[in-house]
Amino acid sequence: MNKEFDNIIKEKLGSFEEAPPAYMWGKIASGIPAAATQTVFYKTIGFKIATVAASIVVIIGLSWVLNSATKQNSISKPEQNQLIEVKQETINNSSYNNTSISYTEDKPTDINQKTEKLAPKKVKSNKVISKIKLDKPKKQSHENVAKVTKTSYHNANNSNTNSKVSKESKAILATKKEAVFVTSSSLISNNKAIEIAKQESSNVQDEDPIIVDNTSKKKDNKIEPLSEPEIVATNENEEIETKNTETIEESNENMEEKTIVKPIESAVVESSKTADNSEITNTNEPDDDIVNLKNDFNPKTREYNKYGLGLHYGYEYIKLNDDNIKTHNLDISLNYRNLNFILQTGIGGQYSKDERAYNLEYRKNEYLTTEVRFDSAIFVLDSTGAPQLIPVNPYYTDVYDSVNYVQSDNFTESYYSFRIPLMVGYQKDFGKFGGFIKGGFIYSVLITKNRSEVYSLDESSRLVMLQYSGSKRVDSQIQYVMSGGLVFRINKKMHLQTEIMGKYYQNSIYDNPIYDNIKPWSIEGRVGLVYFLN
Amino acid sequence: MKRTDEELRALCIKGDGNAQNELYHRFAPKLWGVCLRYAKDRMLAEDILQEGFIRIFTYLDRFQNKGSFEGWMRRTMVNTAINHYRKNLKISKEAEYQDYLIEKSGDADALSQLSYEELLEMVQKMPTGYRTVFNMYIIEGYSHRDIAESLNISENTSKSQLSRARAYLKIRIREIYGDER
Repeated sequence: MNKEFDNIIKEKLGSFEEAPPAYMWGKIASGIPAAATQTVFYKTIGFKIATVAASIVVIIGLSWVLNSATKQNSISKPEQNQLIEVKQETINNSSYNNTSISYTEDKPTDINQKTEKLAPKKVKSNKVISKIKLDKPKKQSHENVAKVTKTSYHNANNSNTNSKVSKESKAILATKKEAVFVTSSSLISNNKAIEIAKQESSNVQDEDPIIVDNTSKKKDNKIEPLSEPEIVATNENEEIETKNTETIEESNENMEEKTIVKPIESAVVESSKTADNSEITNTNEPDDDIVNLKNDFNPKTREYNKYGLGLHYGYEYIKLNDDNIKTHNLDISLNYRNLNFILQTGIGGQYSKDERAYNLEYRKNEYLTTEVRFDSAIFVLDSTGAPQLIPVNPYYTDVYDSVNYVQSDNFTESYYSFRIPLMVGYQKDFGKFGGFIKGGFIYSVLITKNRSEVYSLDESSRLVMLQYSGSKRVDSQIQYVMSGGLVFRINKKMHLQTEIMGKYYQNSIYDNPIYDNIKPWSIEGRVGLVYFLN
Repeated sequence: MKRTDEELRALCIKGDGNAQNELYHRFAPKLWGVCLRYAKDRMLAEDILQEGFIRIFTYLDRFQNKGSFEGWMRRTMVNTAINHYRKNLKISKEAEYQDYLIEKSGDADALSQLSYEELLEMVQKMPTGYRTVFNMYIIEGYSHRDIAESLNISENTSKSQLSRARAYLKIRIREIYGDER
């Protein structure tokens, strides 16, 4: 019987629907905690896409760096070096000098680009001194060794000269068809030199030189180069003919002039000539006529296609109107450098925390009294006593008063982001030190955030309203960055970097609706180590 | 185009205000009925509804797709109502109906003639303990063990509260339709 009774009640009450009062939604909407209106960033599609993209960037970047480093190492192996020979020839009345200059170079394409700038620097009488590389010698490159082979060819028609003949020398000379003209106005074609070297390296003989007239004319005590080079002699008849036999007018006996050839990657070529060419000597030359310039010069080190991995820590101070935020950044960077230009990317993490306020309104029932209630009573009136009111089935009910409370307090929110920087810059080296400036942007995505316990209500309290200060935080932000810093070379591969970085936040997670259109900016001090792989 | 419950839930998790509004208006009528049954008046029912929906929106992401979404919201609302009254449940203080009520066959017929409003009014006028156990057992389908755990009472207390709630309701019905039936 009870079951039938229960079913009827369940049927009547269980399926009942009735619209609540219309004003209820307004009360509920205002009471929904801010947390419920926020996007759970690590569950969003955007975050997942960003994570995948960042992973791809890192993988590609690492592969790129490692492959490049591997290539760089393989290219620099001796057996793969290309020999490029450039020759200079001078003629005087008694002898001519042939200076064969050889150097090794890792990347011929770079050499070609550089040697297009070759230009004669100075002409002195019947000597040609061409400055092929314009850089001043400062520091010897580590990777490349330039060699100078000097060869003197004796004039067969003038055996009385004091010139020495270096029979051991293996100067590579051009044939008639492949003559290389070197005058004060000529350019040395490196491609040509390479071609010549390839064609002639196998069968060149000392007796097959092509002599190029490099002599200069003297006019009004000024040295001028000939306008056009001219072949003046061959050894086809085993004779050397000279066309211009001007004597040396300028005495410079004790001065040693040097011409440096230094293509892009520090290859150095030196031709050294004495003013007195009657006898060509070079006391610095080794017996095999090879001068290792490594011992003579310190050409400035330059960085070509360098790849490095870095680890940086930064402490950032973000300036807002009423809220200054301190963050800690840790980045793993991928660094690329070519000449003075630097490119930096990588991936990093950022941690920050923010003090915010909340307002809470809750309702609590405060006990007042216990009432006795009954549905009916029996009124008894007889002659024996006073009338009585006897309740039928009385029951007791606790009476509570509903009291509203308001609470305001602060809480802390911690933010965890990952970020991807992309910056380009310019770096100038000064010995062991260097300075750089960089610019670019950093894209960061908020991974998650932790909120300290905002409030704690006991079970007898009911939440009425909860409001948070500040706006809904966004899940990604872009920072525009300018920075400058110093580099200290601990050793060849390990560099210590210090950096001051200024940032302007676009679409910041720290935006505050109270200050519309005001974007935060920040100053960050960074320090890190970069290890170059090549 | 009407969005599914799951789509609405996903949007609400992202903080979409329109979706929250739509979700509320889709389920509020059903949940409002729950609140009315557990509250002794409409004012307290409003409190339960408000607190319950705030809990629903706050913990939407905890729904694990086990069972229906509507069922999850209904349980959340019931739990809110139980919490609401848990502190106020002073069952021991309440006077007990005498178990003198004799079962009559006409009670069910009389009950079926009651309108929803009449029945709801009777339920709302029950003592809190009766009403809570009555709703949980008869409407929600909880067992006495579940009720005992939820309300921190013994199973026997739950059973006695239920029988007294039934007796209370039958007396009310007899008062309306007369005892002569």
